[in-house]
Amino acid sequence: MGVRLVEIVERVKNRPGGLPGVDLARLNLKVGKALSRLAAVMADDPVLVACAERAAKEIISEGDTQ
Amino acid sequence: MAIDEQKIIEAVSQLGISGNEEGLIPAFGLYLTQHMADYYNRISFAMAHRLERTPELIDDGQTLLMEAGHGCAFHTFGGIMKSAEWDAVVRPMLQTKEDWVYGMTAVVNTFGWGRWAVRDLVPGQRLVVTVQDSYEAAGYLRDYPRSASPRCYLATGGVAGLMNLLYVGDITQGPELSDAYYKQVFRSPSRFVGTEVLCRAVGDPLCLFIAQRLP
Repeated sequence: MGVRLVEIVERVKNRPGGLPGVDLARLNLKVGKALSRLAAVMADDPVLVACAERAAKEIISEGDTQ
Repeated sequence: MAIDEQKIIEAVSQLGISGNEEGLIPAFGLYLTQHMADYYNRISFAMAHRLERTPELIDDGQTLLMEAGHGCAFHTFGGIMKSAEWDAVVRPMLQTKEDWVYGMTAVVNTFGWGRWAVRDLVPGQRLVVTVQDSYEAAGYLRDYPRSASPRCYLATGGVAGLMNLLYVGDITQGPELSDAYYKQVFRSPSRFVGTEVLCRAVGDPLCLFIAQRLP
């Protein structure tokens, strides 16, 4: 259940220099689902995983430029 | 407590603070923005209302709107408390760290954000602030029906941010207000978080905010 989604959430949550609460809220809004709270009980739907990957990369790369 | 709020309001009011042709207000060593409160209100409430169509995202929207308040507190309140104007007008009255809270709320009361008052301050632990005529709640009530939940997102983050500046960081020591310092303060496991307990937008007579440390 949601193994890849959980991994994406953890990656965003633990990004160096991030603000976990803010970063996860942004992830949720970009994806349109409360991934940070529900990833563990959601299926790894390929479309959703791809969307979450894109959002995570955006959030993490923005942090890299700061 | 040595803070003379009326004296601060009168002094700041005489500084001639006003916006320039670019919509900026150069004051306190900062560039404040001069724009209609309704502008900020309407984009905030539109975002909140849009997210309310997806109930599972409501908390995330509120988190980000309050984060704007954290940033405002850090840069605006922090910048003010490091400014020459603060040194000239407020600092002579400061005797304790708690006085900085009262001094800052006095300055806020020159901005037209509503009438802020410290109802309770437990040093290093808790701040309770009331706001009469909050521009956020007033704007909400003018444009929308009575709300089911509090709407003063910026003030909620601002109250928490003020406590973080003083008791997680230490603005009294004049730190550089850098991105790294922001993250140090607002990532702290002992940081303050704000809650709006009463709000005019839901029918309360005034707005009341509590900032306390993360449990």
